[in-house]
Amino acid sequence: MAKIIPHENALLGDTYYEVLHDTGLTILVYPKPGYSTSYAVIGTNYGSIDDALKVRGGEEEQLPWGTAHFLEHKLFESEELDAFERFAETGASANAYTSFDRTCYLFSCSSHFKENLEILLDFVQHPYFTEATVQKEQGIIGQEIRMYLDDPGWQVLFNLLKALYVGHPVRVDIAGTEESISHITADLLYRCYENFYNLHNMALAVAGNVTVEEVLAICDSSLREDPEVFVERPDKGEPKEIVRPVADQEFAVTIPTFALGFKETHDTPIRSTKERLLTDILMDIIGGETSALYERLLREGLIDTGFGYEYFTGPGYATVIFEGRSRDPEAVAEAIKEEIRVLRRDGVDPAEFNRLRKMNYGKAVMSYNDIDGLANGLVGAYLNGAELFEELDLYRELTVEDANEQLARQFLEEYSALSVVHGPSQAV
Amino acid sequence: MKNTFLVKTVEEGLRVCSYETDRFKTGILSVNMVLPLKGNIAEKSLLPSLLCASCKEYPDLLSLNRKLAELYGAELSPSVAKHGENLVLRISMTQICDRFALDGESLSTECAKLLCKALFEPNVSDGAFDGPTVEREKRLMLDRLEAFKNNKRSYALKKMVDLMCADEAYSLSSLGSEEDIRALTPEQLYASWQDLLKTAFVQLQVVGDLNTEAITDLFRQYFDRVEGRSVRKGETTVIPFAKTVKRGLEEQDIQQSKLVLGFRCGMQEPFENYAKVRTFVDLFGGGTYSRLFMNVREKQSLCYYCAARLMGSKGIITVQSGVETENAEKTETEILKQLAEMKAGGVTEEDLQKSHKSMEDDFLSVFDTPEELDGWFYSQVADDEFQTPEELVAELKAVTRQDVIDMANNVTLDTVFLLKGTGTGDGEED
Repeated sequence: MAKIIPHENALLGDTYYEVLHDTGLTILVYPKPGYSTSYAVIGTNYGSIDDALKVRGGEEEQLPWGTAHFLEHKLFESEELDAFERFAETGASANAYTSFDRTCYLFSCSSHFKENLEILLDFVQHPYFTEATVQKEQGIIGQEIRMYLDDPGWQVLFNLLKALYVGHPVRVDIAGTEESISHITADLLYRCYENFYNLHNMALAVAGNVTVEEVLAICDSSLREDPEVFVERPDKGEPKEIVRPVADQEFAVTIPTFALGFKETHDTPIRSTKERLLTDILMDIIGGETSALYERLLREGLIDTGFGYEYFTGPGYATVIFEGRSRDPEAVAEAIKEEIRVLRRDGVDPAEFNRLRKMNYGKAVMSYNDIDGLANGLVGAYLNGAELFEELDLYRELTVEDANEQLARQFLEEYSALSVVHGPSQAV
Repeated sequence: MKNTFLVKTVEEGLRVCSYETDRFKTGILSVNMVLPLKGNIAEKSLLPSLLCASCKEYPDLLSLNRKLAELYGAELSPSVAKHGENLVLRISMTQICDRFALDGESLSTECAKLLCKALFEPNVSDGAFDGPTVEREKRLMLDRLEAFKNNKRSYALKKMVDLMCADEAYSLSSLGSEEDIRALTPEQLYASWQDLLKTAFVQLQVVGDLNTEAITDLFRQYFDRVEGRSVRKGETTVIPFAKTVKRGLEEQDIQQSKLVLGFRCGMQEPFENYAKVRTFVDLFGGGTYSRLFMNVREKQSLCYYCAARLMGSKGIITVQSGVETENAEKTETEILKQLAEMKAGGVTEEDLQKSHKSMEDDFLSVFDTPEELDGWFYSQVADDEFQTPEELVAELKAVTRQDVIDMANNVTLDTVFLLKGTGTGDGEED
């Protein structure tokens, strides 16, 4: 019997449980008494940035861009009923997604939980690919790629990443290109599956109206032993330099869309939770709704309410991105850079830091309602070697000194680039 | 009483809806105001964002936003939307529950007060809103109108609805026309705000670990000061059948064409036969077991998405798809073929069961987030009757195969709109 480790958070009054199952799969269960539904997600540590397959001690094999996403689409199929059809029998809603660093399969349901979890675990353990079904999918995914080509927000992001990253595969669309996916074959999908979909490389998270015992009982009967495969995520050797400081694209848009990114160097594969939280607060201080810069840019008509920012980070990449729409993206970019210079010179204001720490703590508490967010958060945290509740305690410990110290290493102008997507008459 | 839907008309034109529960970490409080969709929409639609930008006590955006940050990131949010031929103006407050406040503050009282102050005590003087704030909010609204055009999918949908309902109030934009927004004055908005308080049907919604009674009392301290209340709601005209098929086309330099079809569905009034029509739509183009997903996407590989949606408050069904330009006609033919097959009886008992289960699962998940519970009240803000998710599920489960076929036979194609992509496929390359 596997050991059940409880993770308790007294402030929230919540507990989730972690179990390393005998088959190698890590299982995380977050019971939510009183909820009507349950949500389960199983994820593998394999996403679009894994453009090479390397097993410990073996040769490195290059993979076409978009292979992880393609495999996600195809795993729903089987020789008989596909997974969607099976979930339709129980009424669950099922879906899947591929991100830069993971692939996840999920369902939510208000009844037949046992049956649904059995279907989920069954189809992720039974791939079925043929040349005919692979070909059919190339048409569907081709349209998915083209749909994103018409999305200015998506294009402006990838143009930015192409300007910032020399070789890291984060610069390529998650779905790949129409050309790259034409090289995908059934054989290749099997090879990727056999290695990346090893239970030791995966995690299952369940949140909602469930108990840890019932989840384990289903896992005991549905999972088969999996010999451990050590898949490596080789370092991409990304230099700290950028490709170029600007990227422009003409597009059928009426107001230009922009993204300003500050690339960071990496000595650890993954940013720690503390680094992420501090970055969130620093971004709030620079351009958040309580900042003088935000108010001024709004007043001067340089941004609209779509202005925002994110810490875009994952294995081997980290970039602070400010994004939005503006008739004068260069002016916005310059204003942000100037604000950063002033902040670097004067240091972080302790009162502002405390206010934003409080705000971010509140936003964090708000995220503990949604079982889909919790289950996905558990899988994400686990695959990144973090712990879900860590952030709530950290908010109380962070100091203005921490923020100043981190500021010195971040938002560096010489590693920044501005990406703009503008209309035909708005040449920059 | 906790964990139950309570709907109570406390006075004429004021309804309080609540779902108190302690299973969430947050609470949502909202004021939802219904006005007829007619006349100058801009002077109404600008009000929620204007009221959320400042108030007498926090007279500018910065001081208000800093106050919200100190309330642990409480969110004061404006919104405006159409519900049939009614316009719903909404201001909501989302906050963490009192028990998570680190210094024992009573957040819920403070948040409720702030919401009331935003609505009833705005930053006005001499019969006018603050001039610079009005100009900023006008500009932001105009930017929203412009930015909307960047989302090709929703832009194409709106163009289809505009064409379909060209002679109906429903074609009015919920944001107002560009011309009307530009012409707005601080005095005009003041008058419109007064009119809103006097004539709107108001629904106060409380969800989460909040005290409805205390909040209602607080709200009425402000609300009851409004003099000369006289409520006017709009009546929605529903056209049951299309006479001829209208066609619209616009070309843009985009990579993928967006095809949108609009159907009338036989309703004589909003939400008539809702459960039956909803089931038809689900089987036609809802879930992964629907005809559009199974055939247009999976069998023919024509698209990534092809989905049908019901706008029950207006009796309209839409189908949206993103396709290669050369496949647009083929896709339209295939969609109509699927409809024809359903009309001819192509609905199996097995499919009906799938639809029942899927919708039951869907509607019962409403109980698991405060946003969805709040949304459940909101979706019925313009209706006289209130229905719980369980009641709707019971109606859905009573729908028969024959009902679905009958509903399919009530469906007529009204409008086809194609946003035609003429793009060459060149993105930025290295």
